[in-house]
Amino acid sequence: MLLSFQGVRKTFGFFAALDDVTARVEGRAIGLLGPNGAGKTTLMKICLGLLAPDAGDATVLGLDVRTQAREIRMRLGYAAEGAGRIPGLSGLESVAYAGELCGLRRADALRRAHEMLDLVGLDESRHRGVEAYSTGMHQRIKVAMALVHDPALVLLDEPTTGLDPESRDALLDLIVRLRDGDGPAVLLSTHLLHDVERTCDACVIMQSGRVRFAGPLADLQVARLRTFDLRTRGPAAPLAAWLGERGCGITHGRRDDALTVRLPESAEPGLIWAGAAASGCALWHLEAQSASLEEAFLEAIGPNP
Amino acid sequence: MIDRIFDIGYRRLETGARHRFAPWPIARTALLLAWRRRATKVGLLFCLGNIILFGGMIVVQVLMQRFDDQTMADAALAEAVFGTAQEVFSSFVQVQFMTCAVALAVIAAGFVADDRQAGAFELYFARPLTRMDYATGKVLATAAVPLAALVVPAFGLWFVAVGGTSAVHGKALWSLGPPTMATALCGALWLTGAVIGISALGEKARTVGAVFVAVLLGLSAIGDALPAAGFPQFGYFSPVRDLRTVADALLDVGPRSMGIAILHGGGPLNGSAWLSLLALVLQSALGFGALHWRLQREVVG
Repeated sequence: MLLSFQGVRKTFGFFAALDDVTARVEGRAIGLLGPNGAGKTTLMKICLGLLAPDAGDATVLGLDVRTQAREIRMRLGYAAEGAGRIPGLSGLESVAYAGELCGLRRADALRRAHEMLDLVGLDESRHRGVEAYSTGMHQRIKVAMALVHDPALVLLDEPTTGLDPESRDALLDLIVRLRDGDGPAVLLSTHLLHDVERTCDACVIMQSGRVRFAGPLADLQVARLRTFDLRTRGPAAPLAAWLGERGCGITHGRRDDALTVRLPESAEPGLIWAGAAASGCALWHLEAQSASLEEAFLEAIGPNP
Repeated sequence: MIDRIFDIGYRRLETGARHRFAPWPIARTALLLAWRRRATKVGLLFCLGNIILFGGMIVVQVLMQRFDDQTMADAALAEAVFGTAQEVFSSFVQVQFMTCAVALAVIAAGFVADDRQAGAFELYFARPLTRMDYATGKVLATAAVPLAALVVPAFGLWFVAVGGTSAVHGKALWSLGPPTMATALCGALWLTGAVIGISALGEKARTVGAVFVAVLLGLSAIGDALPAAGFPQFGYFSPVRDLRTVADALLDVGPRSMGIAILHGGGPLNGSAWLSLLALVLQSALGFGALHWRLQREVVG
């Protein structure tokens, strides 16, 4: 199991950043989605052992965050959202230094740093001081520093913030390549749904310190596939009444032969056919609503309490 | 230029033991960054100036002694002008202590403060480092400056004196080595503890440097003024006075000679060398305590 949380709670004063977080996450690339202040960064820091949970249990790569924090950090890479750089060092030195801090020998760290900088697309600028870097270059350096020691899981906190479209595209490509290749698993924290949709195979949706969804992306979108648009030959009122009695959500269209039906959790789409037969309405159009991640996300987080 | 990603691809590293002494890269990088600043080189040049000056005095003493041995001239007159080896060692440690303090204010003031200001704690502690690794690395880097500018040159001066003097005088000089080293180490300990402690409390290197020098001067002023006003116990607050007391007690320095007095006039001493030593150790412990407190506050585990 990549990540597992059981009743994790973390408060800062009176503010509960995480409140009874329970989730089990598996996958090669996991999106950690949520609006600002949802608790994403706090959860990442708990994974790293940078923050201790007030209550609950958390494991990363099967290791306990309270007792095996150092072992976890040995196998984790982290690209923080904030500055997190050493002023005065060049890009190459920064990445090599990160490798050395993880136990690589100096020569190995330098060689590996060159590889990682090639990977993230920092060419000759790697020899310049990091203070002179643009925001996008900083993001790339942070990713290179997170990858330099070959971790089993890399945590990327808002890595596409401040990137131009081309660089963003390249970074998302990198995540896809890591996911599909031999690279580390990726936990991508972001509020950009498109980034998750493009790169991840699973996601955790958080809001107000709680997990609203955790699982494969496909599962999230399937939930949306329970809503259907239908048209009948003649008025749809009898069908609407029949389905309404069985717990379906009914929205009437502008025309009297148009309906939007939302099936309850326990019902199968065959219920609509049964209703049409029972109410004597002939269906001539039936279509499941398209399931964009944005709609699914908004549905998962629900109204802000 | 169009940046292309994945020109090389991701290569897995061979798994294997990766346990290295983690503080070493931290110390080395801190010193490397300090070395890149011009102020560091200027500070170290001042330290080098003292070494050359006191080294010259030792050489003159050695030559005078050899001259005395051959001509049987009045050795007392030479001593009155150029002093004894004890005086040179004691004065060197005290003068270099102050010079080193100024150098440390520009070299090491940002060792922890800069990391705090740049938000680099996360960078360190998201990696398999403990607070002890980080603290050891930073203390090593800080201690390297007084070790290189104070302790090693003190040993060098003693080595030159012992090696260069005649067999007759050399015997007496052998016993000066350990007390000279001990005094220099006391000074280095205080400097390291104080600057790393203030750096841990501050956020801007320049402010930390200024505060460090102000603390040293302030404590020295208190330690000199209040004993003169009838409160001798306040003398132990002054690290300069404490070091002077320890140095003079260990090296058994008598009245200052003319040559040494020009460079370093000495000054009043505390009543007990042991209490002075204890005061130096306690003050440096306060500095290390401040570093410990900062790391406990900022980092879990």
